[in-house]
Amino acid sequence: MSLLYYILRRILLGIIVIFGVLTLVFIITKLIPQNPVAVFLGTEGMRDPALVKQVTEQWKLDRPIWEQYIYYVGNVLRGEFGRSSWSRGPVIQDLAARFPATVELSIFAFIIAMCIAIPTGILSAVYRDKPVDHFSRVLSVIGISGPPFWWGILFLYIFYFILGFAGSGRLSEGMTPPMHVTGFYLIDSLIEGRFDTFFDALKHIFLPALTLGIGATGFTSRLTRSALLEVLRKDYIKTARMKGLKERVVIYRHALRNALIAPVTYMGLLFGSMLGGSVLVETVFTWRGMGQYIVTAVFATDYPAILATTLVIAIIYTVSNLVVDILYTIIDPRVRVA
Amino acid sequence: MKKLDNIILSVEDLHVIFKTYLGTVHALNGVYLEVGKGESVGLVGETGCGKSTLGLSIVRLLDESAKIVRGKIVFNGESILEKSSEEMREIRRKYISLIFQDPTAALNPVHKIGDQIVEALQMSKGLKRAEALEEGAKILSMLGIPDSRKVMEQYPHELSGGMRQRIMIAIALSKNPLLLIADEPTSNLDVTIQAQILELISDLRKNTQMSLLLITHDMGIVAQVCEKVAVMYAGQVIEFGKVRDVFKNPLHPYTQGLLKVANLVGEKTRLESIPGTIPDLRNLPPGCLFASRCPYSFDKCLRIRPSNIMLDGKRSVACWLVEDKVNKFGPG
Amino acid sequence: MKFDKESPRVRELLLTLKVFGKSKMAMISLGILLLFFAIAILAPWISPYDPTETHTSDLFMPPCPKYPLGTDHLGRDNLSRILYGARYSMFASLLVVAVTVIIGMPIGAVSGYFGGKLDEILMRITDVILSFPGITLALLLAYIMGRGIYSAALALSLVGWPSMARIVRGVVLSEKGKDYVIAARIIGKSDFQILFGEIMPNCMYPVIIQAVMMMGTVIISLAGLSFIGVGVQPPEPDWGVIIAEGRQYLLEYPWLSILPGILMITVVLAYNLVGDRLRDALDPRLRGELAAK
Repeated sequence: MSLLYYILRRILLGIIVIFGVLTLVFIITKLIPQNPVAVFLGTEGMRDPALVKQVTEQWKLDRPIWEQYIYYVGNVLRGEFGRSSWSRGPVIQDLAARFPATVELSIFAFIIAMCIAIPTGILSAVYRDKPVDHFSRVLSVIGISGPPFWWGILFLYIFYFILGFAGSGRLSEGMTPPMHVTGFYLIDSLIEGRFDTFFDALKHIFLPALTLGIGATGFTSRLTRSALLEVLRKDYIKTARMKGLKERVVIYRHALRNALIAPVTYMGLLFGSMLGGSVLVETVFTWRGMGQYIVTAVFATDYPAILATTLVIAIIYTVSNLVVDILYTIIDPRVRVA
Repeated sequence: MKKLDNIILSVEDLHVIFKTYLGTVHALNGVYLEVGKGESVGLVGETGCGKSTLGLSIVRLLDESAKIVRGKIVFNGESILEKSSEEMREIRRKYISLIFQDPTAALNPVHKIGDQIVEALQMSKGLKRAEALEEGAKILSMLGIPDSRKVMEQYPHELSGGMRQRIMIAIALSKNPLLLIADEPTSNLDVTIQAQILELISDLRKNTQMSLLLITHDMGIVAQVCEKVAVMYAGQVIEFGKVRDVFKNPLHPYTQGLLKVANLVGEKTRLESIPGTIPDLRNLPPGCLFASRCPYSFDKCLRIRPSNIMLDGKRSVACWLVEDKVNKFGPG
Repeated sequence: MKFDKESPRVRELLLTLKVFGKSKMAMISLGILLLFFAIAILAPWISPYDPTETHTSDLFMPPCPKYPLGTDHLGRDNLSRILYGARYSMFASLLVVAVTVIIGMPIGAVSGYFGGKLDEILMRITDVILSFPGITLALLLAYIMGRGIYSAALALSLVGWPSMARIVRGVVLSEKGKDYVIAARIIGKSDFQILFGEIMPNCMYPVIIQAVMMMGTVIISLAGLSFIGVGVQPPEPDWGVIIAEGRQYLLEYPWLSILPGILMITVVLAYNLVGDRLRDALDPRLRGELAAK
């Protein structure tokens, strides 16, 4: 009962924060130096006063601020993000095409990171100060210290140029994307039954995902290690041993559940930052996702696109933090008070 | 090999060190202890004298940084220190239980109480889950926990300190151990509950042949519950014998000091301070560890460390003063 | 402030330094950082060439006596470019962290000390800022303010102050109830005096640690922004810019892009190691143990 209540409260808080985000983006909108009408119409269109007036009225730019705000919020809720001044298509469409790419990449990065970080962290703790520990420590620290985009370039060089492994983009040249069901190439190609596409997409997602997750992997690995080491010193572990449980059971059933609280929470937050970090990685790997979209939009001064993408990213980020928060309360019963 | 069949636990010349950043801490410096079958022995001393370390050493649950560097521990006729970890596990599973000082820390915060008790019962008695739940609820009720079914569904942080303590005891007793090591089982509880628990433990001991090693700083409880007492100082047992004998006629100056300031009127007692401080465990003096605070110390005390001088089979003291007494007067 | 050898604060400082100095790794890292700072300061004097100067007849030269690290696609000396690039990495990051502290510390302190509505509002604001992934927001801000190193630096500061504020707020909250604060109130000191005179000095340590740990991230973020094109603008030689420019020629001349990265790892690693050790040295529990080792 109290668990449900807590979850609902968190969701409510999350919604409030999202509104804060909306407002912040709106404020940013108003801070952009260029006249949005001018950007949209171009120098040519600006010469026609009737056209200018029409667009201005259409976008409610002649109204008082608070009215503009309400109009803006209404638009957002309807998914009406305007038209990209660069692609001339509705932004929402561009986003819909890009969104799955980024999410797929982030999820995959998250999975790879977790699969590497947590086992290495556990091994480091259990075999403390042995070679495994030192080795993973060095790798982690180096991983965190390098800029992700540079790692991407390095990986590209080693795997693509030298080894001929998959290159940029989501698929190889000449490979057609699977039929669009979810937009996730990995899932869609399986649904369609095209295994060649599946493996190609898998090859291509691997490097960017690894790159995106490198910082998170290193950090989480160390965090897992120290959390587990601390837990193993606790009295309740002694109690478990006192019951005569096998060491493996002690670690899996008693230690890990407590030790993983911190790393899992952190990883959840890192997932959100992976979304943001995708900007760089997508650029390096020419990955057609939201990150790359926002970069091209910035340089094309396509501000409806910029704002819409920022908004979407921010909302996903907030939602993922919310999910993490909720997961946290499920894992650790102590948090459920108040 | 003396009287093996009567002794459940025998500790001889146990030395334990901790390796810390501060240097090597000599936590136990030659402990001698004996617990007979069905006997209850109290282990008293100031904080930091090594009582808990001794308890953990017996079951070999010391931290990684600790090392047993010398000595023998014989439990039920077998040498503990030579056991493999598998064999130790078996011994812990069936024969020895340890009640920890802080019940909150000793219970896993993310597991329900019921699960923790069930786990203990499954390990010790091989019960199936449903049977274990039954048994667990019974044990909890026996310990005076009302509404045991409900409690089993709760988490440790939802219960009071007294309840947690009793659950700890329940887990410890779920295996009918031959030896129960209880580390300050009542320190965090108020007097009435304390009395209940002590009575419970006494009852259990009456019905089974369970031996008890009661670690505490409360002399009053020792007087109530224990047959023998071991007084510890700076990692050594400096006096050991029947409670009656030791309390009426303490031979070691430290014990004398303790009893002088402790008010044995059945109330909770606190060990008052004796002038001086315990020696730095990283840098032990060569002679008697108590010499610097001892009103009777003489030259020999500062040079050679006394250890476990037996007065007869039942009484021992680690003090040079006694040497003469042994020669002159016989057992006190 | 008098440098009184016996005062507890000075003794604490000396102990901290002593513990820090005991770690070989930390000292080596510190040395590396000083080296890079020296390079950054001295770049104009030790660079053989102007970093933006093109030598059209010497494109893509391998390392040779004339150009110790070779040249890039425009014939510019790589060594000079990298030396000058150090200036951006070392100093711009310093600027960012400084501004972050200047903004974040007062806000956190005030929020923690006065509590109530003010605290609520400020914390909501930090929540909202923190609900944007850092790079995205920095990108946006840099775009609004015009591309360039200063916009990028300011953007990163605006993105970074919430975490600093949170930490300071936490410290202030726990210090608020302590005895010396109550004592100061009894004497009659004003809230302002208490906050800035008594409590703030106690925040210094966590702030310093956070600042050092931030340096690494900031260097990476700045390079990232430059890489995309909203930070340092070419032809200026920031490491991120160099990596970006070298990207096109990755196949034939990988060193153009790879070398700056290796340097960045070195610097960031050094900051991380220093920060780690500093944190251990300032932790009162660990400090005693480590000092006697």
